[in-house]
Amino acid sequence: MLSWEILVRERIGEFGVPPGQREEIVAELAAHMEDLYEEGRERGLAESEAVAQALEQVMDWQSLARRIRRVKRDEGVVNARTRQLWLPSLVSLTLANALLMVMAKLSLEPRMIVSYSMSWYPGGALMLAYLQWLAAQPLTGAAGAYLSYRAGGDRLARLLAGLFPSIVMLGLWCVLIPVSEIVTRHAFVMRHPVYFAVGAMGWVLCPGMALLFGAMPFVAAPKIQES
Amino acid sequence: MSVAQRIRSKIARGSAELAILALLADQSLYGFEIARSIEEKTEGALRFNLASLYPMLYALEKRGWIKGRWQANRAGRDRRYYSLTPAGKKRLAPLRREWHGFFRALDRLAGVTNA
Repeated sequence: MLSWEILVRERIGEFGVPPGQREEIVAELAAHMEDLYEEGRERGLAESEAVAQALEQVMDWQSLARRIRRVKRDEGVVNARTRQLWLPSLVSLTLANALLMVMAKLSLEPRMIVSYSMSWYPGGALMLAYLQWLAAQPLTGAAGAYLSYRAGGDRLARLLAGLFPSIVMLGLWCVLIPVSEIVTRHAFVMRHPVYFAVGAMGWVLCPGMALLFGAMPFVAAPKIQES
Repeated sequence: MSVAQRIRSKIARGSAELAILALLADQSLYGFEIARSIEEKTEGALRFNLASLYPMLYALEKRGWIKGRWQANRAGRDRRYYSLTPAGKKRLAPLRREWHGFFRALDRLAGVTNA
């Protein structure tokens, strides 16, 4: 009895997709061939004619293998979410941090931009920021949002990719820093909540607004349809 | 590839996408059934052979618009049934509008419906 799976496997060859995926593709194509063959037999074709008719469906097996490989390989390396969200987010985060490192390397000092001293908190708190770095953040936000936009990301993906450096900083301020302070029993943060809040403004809110400013043209743009 | 060939290829690809998504909006089907249903419903105007169908199905699956799942057919044989995902349902509506607009524009230009 003819094995369609063997026939398909032989013709399609090794086509550069993982073995499990290859077997599934072979099984699916073989099932289709089998259905074509049986349809031919039901129409009264001789066995050899029904086989020939099924085989006529693929004139060039190597071309079919190449086309399937192109689709499946892309799928294996990066999926849509990675292209539309994670890679652009990583780019914006890396860019923001690389700029910060450059500022430090150039010995640029953070500047005081706000000083708080309230009646209920007479100690006062300063908000320091690398102004040059802050000024460059719209470009970082634009880069993340643009890469997501180009990959066909929806508005939320583009927004998140643009704001990602601030989202990471928010995580650090809300979770990592309080937890590390508690673990190391360094009670400074707990005793000085205004310092903490003002710090969050300087490292999360202000850069977030700058990132948003740069990302907005790409967030507002209509979505690119993948071809 | 010439400009005309590229346009024809784009139209063929776009119409094939619409045909598959619209078909799967109502029911889950496996590859052979998809090819036969499209051929029957379009009275042979659109035809898929095995070589053209599966790269298209895998591409639609990669985009997250359809999802394949192995299950037994009526004859008890395992077949990979495709169904529309929520993202595919969302994609179908604008795709229908785009094609509607395209045919209306073509009709205004070339009087296709009166031919």
